[in-house]
Order: sequence, then C-alpha cells, then structure tokens
Amino acid sequence: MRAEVGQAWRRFVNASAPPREITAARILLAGTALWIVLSRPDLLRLLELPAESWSAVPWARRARFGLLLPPGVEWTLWATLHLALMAALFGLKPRLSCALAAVLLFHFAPLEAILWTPNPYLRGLTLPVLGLVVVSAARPGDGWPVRLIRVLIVQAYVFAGWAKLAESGLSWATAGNLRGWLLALEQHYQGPGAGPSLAGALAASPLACWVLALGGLLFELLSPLVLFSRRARLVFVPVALAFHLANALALHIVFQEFPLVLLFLDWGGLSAPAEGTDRETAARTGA
Amino acid sequence: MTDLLKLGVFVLFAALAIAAGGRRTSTRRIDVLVAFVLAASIAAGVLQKESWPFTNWALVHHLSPTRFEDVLELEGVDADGRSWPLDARALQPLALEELRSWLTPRLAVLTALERDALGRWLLGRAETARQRARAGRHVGSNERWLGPLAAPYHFTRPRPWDDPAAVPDRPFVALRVYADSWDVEAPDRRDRRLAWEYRPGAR
Repeated sequence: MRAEVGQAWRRFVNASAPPREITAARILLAGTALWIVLSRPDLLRLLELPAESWSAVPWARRARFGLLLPPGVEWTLWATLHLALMAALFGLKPRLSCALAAVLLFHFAPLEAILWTPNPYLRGLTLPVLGLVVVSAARPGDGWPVRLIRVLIVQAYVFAGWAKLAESGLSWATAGNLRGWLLALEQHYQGPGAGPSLAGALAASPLACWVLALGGLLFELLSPLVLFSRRARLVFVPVALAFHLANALALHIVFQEFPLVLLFLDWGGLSAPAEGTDRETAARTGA
Repeated sequence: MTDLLKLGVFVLFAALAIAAGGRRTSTRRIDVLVAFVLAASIAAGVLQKESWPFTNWALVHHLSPTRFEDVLELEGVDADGRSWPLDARALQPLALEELRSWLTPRLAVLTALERDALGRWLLGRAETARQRARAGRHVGSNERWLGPLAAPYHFTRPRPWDDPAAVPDRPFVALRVYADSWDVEAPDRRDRRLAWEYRPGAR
C-alpha cells in the first residue's frame, strides 16, 4: 500500500506533459484574472471610503494583504498588475509575470470584501492567485503544475459539497431545502415585485427541486473523479458549465472562475507530444 | 496575530514556488511545494477555515432560511421628496452585498459623524451614477471598460437603470436606508422600517 502511494506520488510529480498544457493553464488563469480586474476599474476607490468604514478592519488584516501603502503607490501597483497579467497572458517572461501577477492579486483581491471579511474566495480571484503561483514554478514539459491546479479547481466543488454536509447533513439535498433556497435567493437578490422567474418556476416543481438538489450535491462530491478518469473529464466540462449557468440563472450565483474548467480539456492532445520531453525532464530532475 | 500567521502561509507558499522554479538538481523542491499546497488547501477545506487564498469554498451550505431580518435596501430621495430604489450598480466599486454585510451589524453603533461621512460617500456615488444613467452611459463603474461583458459580482442584481426612462430625472438630495424583514413564504408582506436617512446639513 505504502509503495503504491509512493508510486502514485512519483507519477503525480514526475510524469511529464506536453508544454501546451502549461501554456493553456497560464492563459486561462491570467485571462480569467484580467477579465475580473478589467471589470473593476475603480476598485481602488474603495480606499477612499471614509476612514470610519475602515475602522472595522484590524491593522493586522491590512498588513496581511499589504493594504497600508499610500494611494499613489497603490495606483502604480494596480497599473503594474494589469501589465503583469497581460504579459502572463501573452507569455512574456511567463514565470516572472505570473509570479508578479499572483503577488499583486493577493494584494488587491481582498479589497472588494475586506470591510467585513478577509476571505474573498467568491470574488473570482482565488484560483488565479493559487494557479499563477504554481505556474510561476513550472518549466516546459512539467506535468505536475497542471495536475496540481486541477486538484485546486476540483477542491472548489468538493469542498462546497463537503461544507453542505458538514453544516446541514443530508437534509441539504432535499427538494424542500432547494425550493427554499430558490425562493430565498430570488427574493433577496431580485427584490420585491420582480415578477415571474426561472427560480419561481423551478420552485413550483418538486421533481425539479429533487433533481437540482441531489444532482448538484452529487456533482460537487463526485468531481474528484476527473482527476483519475479521462472519460470523466470529457463529461465534467459541459456538466460544470451547465451547473454554473443554472446557478447564475436560477440562484443568481455567479462563479467568476468558471472559465478555468476548460483546463480539464485535453490541451496536450491538441499538439503532438514534445519529443524527448520525458528524457528532458528526467535529465533536468536528475531522475 | 492570526492574520499575520496567514500572511506567513502565503509567503511560505510563494517561497516554496520560487525554490521549486529555481535550478533543479532533484524533484525534492517540487515534492515539498506540492505537499505544502495539498496540505494547506485540504486543511482549509476539511476544517472549513480560511487562510486565503487557501479557502473553505462554502456556499449556500446552510439549510434555506425561512425568514429574512433587516435586509438593507437603499433609496435616493429627490428634491420633491420622492424616494427611488437605487440600481445596485450605482454603488460600484462597492458591491451592495458587501455593504449590507458590513453595515447591517454596525448601523446602530455608528456615531453621527461616522454616519455623515458614510452617507456623503454613498450619496455622492448614487448621484454620479444617476447622472451617468440619465445620459445613457454605463450606470456603474465596473462596465466602463468592458461594457456588458464586464464580470458580474458573485450575486447578480436587477439592472433597472438600463432603461434611461426608469432613472430619476431630478438630483438626489438625500439617501434612505430601509431595513426589510419578511417570511420567505410570504414575500409580499414585508415589514419595512427606515433605518437611517442621510440628508446633507440636516444636523
């Protein structure tokens, strides 16, 4: 058993992959982050909120994210972030640009929610921060970075499912609970008098509520299968995109990192495997 | 202290990545980086404790609520005293959900001066957005560069001011914050109370 685990670990870390996989990961991560950043041009204006608003944010929390700098420096770093993401997207000094972009994203991403939480995990930049740090350590032909990033993406699903079970148990996966969420989120986020809605139509159907409740939770909990099965990956990408579309339309929840599910496509298969990749990797690693 | 420890987790993550990306004589540095990332991310998920960017990923994990209490809604007041629900985009770059989460537990304890400062900021954003919307331009700042392709916030909101005819034609002179409460099964029977009104120079 121990030997098998050891072999699996060595395969995870050592097995090479076509360079196009890392290129695809870099483009998807930087592109997603750039999309979010370009969609928040005034983000730094939050620093201009009245000082009273910031009084709820402990000094240590500001220090954690480096949010202690003068406005002029912040705006310069904000511009630098855009340049770093563009460079990462187009592969200019990719390891350096990915590292710089990741550190600057770590600095700026919490700004959107920091008044009340230091955990901005649903604002679209969590996986880009993690993934860009990983890509910054990657070399052409390395297989482990994309495998590791795929694990991190899967965790977004499996831990969302785990949180439901830990907090609510199997009661979460019932038609009644999902109907309640459909109605509650519709009322909370669309306001009074919003008129007929998809959420309302789904909530009126017990069958639809059962399918969405059980299907959604099973999808989240079974998502790790994509790490082991090529066939599961083929199914996962369209199902995940449909899952996010349904969440957006019926529950008003947008997972801005949804483009990253495309990383489960077989990017390496789109190009001929790099000749000698394994040998090069072995030589580089001394294996 | 906890925040600084969490900063240390990220710094260690970055340092291990730099080490793994440097000159390699073995796979040991990669082993350490991969083990660290797996350990940190799995710990955050299983224990449901954040050390962002290692996080818990929890979302709508509670059982559905049966009642909402004191959900804040913002309205602008024009010179005629008419009150208009704000398009949430008017507050950008502040998301309404972030404002609600921050303000709801604090509204009662803010001093008059603090309320004035916040009210001035909010009213300024709302009036600027109203003017933009009346002119047929983007309502919030988030769409300045990408237009309708801009990434939405995590929770989507209605966009009433996409129709310029629905935008108030007179300037806002005050801001009202209402606290709404209702049963999910009876959403039309909302209890609404005025939680706060900001009117420049009213004090």
